[in-house]
Amino acid sequence: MDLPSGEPAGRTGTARRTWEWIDQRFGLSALAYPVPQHANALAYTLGGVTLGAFLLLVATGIYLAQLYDPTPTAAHSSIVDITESSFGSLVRSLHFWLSSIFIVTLTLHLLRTFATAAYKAPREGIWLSGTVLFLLAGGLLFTGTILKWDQEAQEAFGHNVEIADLLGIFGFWFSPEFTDSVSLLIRTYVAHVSILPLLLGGVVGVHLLLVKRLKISPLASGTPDEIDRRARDEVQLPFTTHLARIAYWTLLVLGIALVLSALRPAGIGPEGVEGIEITKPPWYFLWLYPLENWFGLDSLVVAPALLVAGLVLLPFLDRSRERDPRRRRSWIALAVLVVLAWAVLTVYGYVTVPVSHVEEMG
Amino acid sequence: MRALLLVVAALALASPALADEGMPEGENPAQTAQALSLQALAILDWGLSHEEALEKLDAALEAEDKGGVDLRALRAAHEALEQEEVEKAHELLHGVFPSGVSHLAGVTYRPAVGVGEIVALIVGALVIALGAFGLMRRRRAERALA
Ligand code: HEM
Repeated sequence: MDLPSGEPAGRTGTARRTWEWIDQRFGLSALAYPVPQHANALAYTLGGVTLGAFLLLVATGIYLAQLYDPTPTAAHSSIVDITESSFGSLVRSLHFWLSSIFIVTLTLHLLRTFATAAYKAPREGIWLSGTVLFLLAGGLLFTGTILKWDQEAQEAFGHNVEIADLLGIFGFWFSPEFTDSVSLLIRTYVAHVSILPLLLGGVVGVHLLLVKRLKISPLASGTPDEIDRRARDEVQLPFTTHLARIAYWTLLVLGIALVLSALRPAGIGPEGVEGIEITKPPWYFLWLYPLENWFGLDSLVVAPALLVAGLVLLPFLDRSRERDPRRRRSWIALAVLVVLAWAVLTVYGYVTVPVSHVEEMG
Repeated sequence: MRALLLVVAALALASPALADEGMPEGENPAQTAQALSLQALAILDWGLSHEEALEKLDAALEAEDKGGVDLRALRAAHEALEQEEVEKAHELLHGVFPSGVSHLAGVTYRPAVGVGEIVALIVGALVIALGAFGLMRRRRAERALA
């Protein structure tokens, strides 16, 4: 069925009447408000694709929640059981790969909004809500890693407990001492399947309302005056064309996740032992691994805190009218440096042997 | 939308047919002898309870997947630990692992690629083609609108 895009529907009779019936009741044609043509480019669709990936994660997560047992004695074997059935393994692998795709599209979206200076006035609120989303996404990845309750999960869990201790009163909620009656694994599960996704959903709502209200930032090419002039003359398309693009990109994401799940299904390690370290974190946290080796546990708090502080402060530090990345070379150089540092740390984390015991084992 | 329904239907149809038997009851394929021995070694390295290490070695000796460990060394380490000769067991455990393997306990069980994965691969390729086709159509439609 064609969306209410103002395009010739190309359909007559029953289809058109059905559409009109639905539209009168749900007001869907209100979605056909104008947006600038450049909003349909992939770079400006990445936020929507991230949302699409998130919805697919929710769908696969709901299925997994029917089969997963979050009690510490049964968690690992319930994951093994899921993995041993073909369909369970497929859904689990989809969830696994979609989480990686989600974090990739999310980061690309962040980098795009940085590169086009979309954080500048009047869009600081969108950027700040985005920073909260970034943190929530990190929380979802971290809690998800813990749920499989294998050695890697146990070590992530151990870090959680140690960081909770380090944070003192602020970490109390994340510590096993918070309550005797419910295990921290179950509370982590609750965070993963309800608290964090609900918060993320709510903040995404605010984020999108702000984007709707403040409109998408203009194409960032040329001087500020040139950019304003071009924005006034730009062709407008119905927002529904943007939604259609997001839907097709999301379909592409689903296809890629299916192919990856088929070629490399998600695995699991041995049931975890507390207090030892013989694994490395998943790729998205690998950049922290060498930092911990060099600077200890504190770096796991300090490095992400610095990153988030930088994101929060950015719109208040860079207040010029310039949007074109070629006219903001020092800011772009700073971002390139951060991305390079992340990449180098990740590769280094991947190739190095764990510091603590492997040297001994030779 | 119709395409999406087709995809869901294909996967739903495939699911009961593909629900395989899995491993025998009680056998946990992620608990390989190699990973369990590595955990036992790390437990001793970290100076944790040697009884816990012994439990791991018990399980390692029973594990279906021995993953190339030196069984003789494993048994000797197990025996030493039973005698509470922790130092000796520690030493012996170093010799349990096949040479050149990574001393990391990463993924120890990953399902083999079977019919389910092949169906997923085909459906995935179709979904990608559908998405790409849809995007091409949108581009044309938008050009006409602009
Ligand atoms: C779950 C995570 C997120 C979702 C679902 C999401 C969704 C969206 C969507 C749909 C848009 C419309 C334009 C576009 O797609 O580019 C948008 C715009 C925007 N987002 Fe996000 N976003 C997320 C995270 C972030 C993060 C982490 C940041 C940065 C810290 C951010 C900053 C922005 C900004 C500044 C805009 C305005 C863009 C412009 O006007 O050009 N978002 N977001």
